[in-house]
Amino acid sequence: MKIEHELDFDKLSEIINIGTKCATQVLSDVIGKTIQPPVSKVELIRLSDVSISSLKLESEKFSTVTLEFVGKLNIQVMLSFSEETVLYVIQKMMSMETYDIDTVHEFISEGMCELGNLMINACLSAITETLKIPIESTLPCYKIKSANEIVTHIKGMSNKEFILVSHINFSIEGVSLSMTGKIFFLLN
Amino acid sequence: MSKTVLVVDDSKISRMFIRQHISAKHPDWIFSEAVTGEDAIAMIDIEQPDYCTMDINMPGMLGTDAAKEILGKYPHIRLVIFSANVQETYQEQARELGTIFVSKPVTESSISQAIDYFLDI
Repeated sequence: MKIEHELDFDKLSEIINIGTKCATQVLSDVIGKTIQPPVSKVELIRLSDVSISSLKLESEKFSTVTLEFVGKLNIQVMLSFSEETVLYVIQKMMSMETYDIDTVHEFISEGMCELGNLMINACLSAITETLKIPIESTLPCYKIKSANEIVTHIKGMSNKEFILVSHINFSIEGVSLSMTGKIFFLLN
Repeated sequence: MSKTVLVVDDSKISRMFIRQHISAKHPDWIFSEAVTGEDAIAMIDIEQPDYCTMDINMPGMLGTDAAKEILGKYPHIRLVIFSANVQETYQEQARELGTIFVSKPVTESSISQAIDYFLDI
């Protein structure tokens, strides 16, 4: 896929936004809360410019889930949430509001793996249905990564000149916590 | 008479949610679990459940391939494909197997679809 013109990027952004919307709907279904329409912004970042600041990685640690998709579109997709977002989401997902934080931590790995799998598949399914290109996916891989590790991972994975990032800012009805997530699309 | 359900899914959370949601509606139903399609086939060869939920993406064989083998041998089992991968190609495969595709996440609504199919409502 060559992204040579602004129009191409606009079309791609639109398709990715459809995917992001589906992923956010899944999150809403899982936690049983209404999510205000997310503000998402798709950015095309030159691989040589990938850094903590260009990726807007504003926390020290992130929970990440990665899936690879193969077929006519070979792509690795990584979802990342900040720790605060993950704690809230897993508590809601597991209906564990009354549990202590250590108990919630026990479920983060399993919970995030499943949530990431659901959200990334919803996002990619929407994209591939729009593009009419069926693809197959690997199993989800969950890891806690520092901002530096995310940058290193992206630089090591993508062999294309650019990567695509969808920055998602969302708020949940009745919750003051500001939540952010990112979906990285690494074409290879 | 209580019914038996085999839940096939590599995600512990998914298996737990499926059991919880079905149990909430049918507390007398009895559950067993398998983590792969291969394990499910082996278990069903020993004892056939009334109903089965089958994930697609699992370690080893695809859930759709396991479902094909299970339904080929035991067509009386009511089986639903339960997956996060909602691409049309997988939904089509479910239809070809004569079963239904239910999209994840596991929610009250998605479980209701599965139960309605199990009970032929």
